Amino acid sequence: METLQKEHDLPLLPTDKVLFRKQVQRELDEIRQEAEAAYALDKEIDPIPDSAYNDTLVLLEILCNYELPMPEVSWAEDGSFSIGWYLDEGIITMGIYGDNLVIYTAFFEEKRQFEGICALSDTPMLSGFLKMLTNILM
Amino acid sequence: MNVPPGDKLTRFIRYSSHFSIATNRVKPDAFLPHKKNVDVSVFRISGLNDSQELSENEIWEIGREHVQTEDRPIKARADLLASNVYDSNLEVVPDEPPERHANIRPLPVDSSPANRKTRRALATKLANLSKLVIPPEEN
Repeated sequence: METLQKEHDLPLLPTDKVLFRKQVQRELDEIRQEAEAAYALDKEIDPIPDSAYNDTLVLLEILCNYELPMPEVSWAEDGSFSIGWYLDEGIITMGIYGDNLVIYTAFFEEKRQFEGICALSDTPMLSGFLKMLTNILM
Repeated sequence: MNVPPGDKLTRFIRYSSHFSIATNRVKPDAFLPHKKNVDVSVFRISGLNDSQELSENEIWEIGREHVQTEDRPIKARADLLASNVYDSNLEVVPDEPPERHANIRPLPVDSSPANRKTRRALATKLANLSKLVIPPEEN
């Protein structure tokens, strides 16, 4: 556990674009497999549509243009993928459901939280959020 | 009658991507049930009549008995206080049997982007206030 804490204390570093793209896409593929395996066992879970996978790839390409630390990819039973950053004091996630929308949420404490929805194609709005994200994470 | 705010709750986690070992954090995905579900299933791990906390072994045993299946073992759990839930304008309602089971509710039904945003905000808040606990054999 001590080792984990030391890793957690390391500063978040920007990653180069090639490494970012490769690592996150590999993680996305693994997560997709886990979600499909879960759905095979439990049909109450909402399946993740192919469009969510494709939208996540598009979002990852956009993220490559920002100096952001490596995010973590995950899935949920509501049929979504998430791209997230988990800090000591807060959580920032971007949820993708395959409807061309990105739902972003940041929570640090009661008075420091924000959330919003923007279209994946709404470059100015998405860019605004990603710049703010860069300021928080870097 | 709702669960008292001082009670400790746990949400059993069955998927590896719903928590992060590297950052020792619970992810919001652990608190996002399928779209039509307005309840998040939890168990009370303190309180009740005897006011005594369960031991770690007793808590994991609840998960093994009532949540785990042969195909889906429990990978971790998210512990939080009922007061964290009430602070998020949600309730914790006993839902027995099984003993100690309760539901965090009501999440809005995922019927629109606005509701979806609210669900994600609530799940993020609950995850941020939760403590990740890993089963002893995986430490």
